[in-house]
Amino acid sequence: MSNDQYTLNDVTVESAARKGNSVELAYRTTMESMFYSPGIRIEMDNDDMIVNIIRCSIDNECDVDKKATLKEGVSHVIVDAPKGGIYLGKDKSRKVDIN
Amino acid sequence: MPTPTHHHRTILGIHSNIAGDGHDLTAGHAWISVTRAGTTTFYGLWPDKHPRTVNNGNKTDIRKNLEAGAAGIANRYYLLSPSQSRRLEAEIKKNIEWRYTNTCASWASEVVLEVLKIDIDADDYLGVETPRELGSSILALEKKNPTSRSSPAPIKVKTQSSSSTGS
Repeated sequence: MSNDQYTLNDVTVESAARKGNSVELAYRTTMESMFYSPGIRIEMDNDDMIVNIIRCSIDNECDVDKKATLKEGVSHVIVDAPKGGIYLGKDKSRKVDIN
Repeated sequence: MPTPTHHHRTILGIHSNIAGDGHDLTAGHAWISVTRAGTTTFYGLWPDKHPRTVNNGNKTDIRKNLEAGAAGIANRYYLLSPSQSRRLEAEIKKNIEWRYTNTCASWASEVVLEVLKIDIDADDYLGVETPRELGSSILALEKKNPTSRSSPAPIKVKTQSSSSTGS
């Protein structure tokens, strides 16, 4: 865990479901009683979307591009479907399977 | 002391999802689990302001089952005697407030101390009790005497003269 982002080891993508021109991402982060994920920041690499899962102190509000909705421990965000793939990690080390 | 049958036994688990200095002081989470007659319930201390919780004002910050499905990387289990089970139920019913000086790790460690008279150390730098330190303490105990929910540490009744450091 870094101060402002969850590392890949701390994130599990539960699902990535295409809904028309959007994709709903559902993810879990490592449970932390002093931190939470308010949402994601997005970077584009040509047609690919790189998703960064933001880690925020419970005492702060953190900037995100897409705010997450928390349902039973799972964070949900909706993003515009990219032409390319969706990846986690700066180096695009984990590709997200879209259903 | 007779051992409770499988159907009636109560098992107390203590858990942390991090261990060691590779994590920062405020990272991670610690909690307990209670298995009563085969059904497991999870309890953890969470602040009202955390998005995972409902702000319940002055009521207890002990939350039920937020950790269901969460995996600890450090886990230890104890079989409880009937009197220890009663003490545990009393601990869970207390009105406990989360504070920076009374964290999830403080509370989980305190429950084990109150119920079993076993000190699983959570004290970190600056007197703060942390999941990372509690995780390390659990792993150290597990290395010596591994436990699991199906094979918990047996009931130990402390005599008045015995010591109370982690076992």
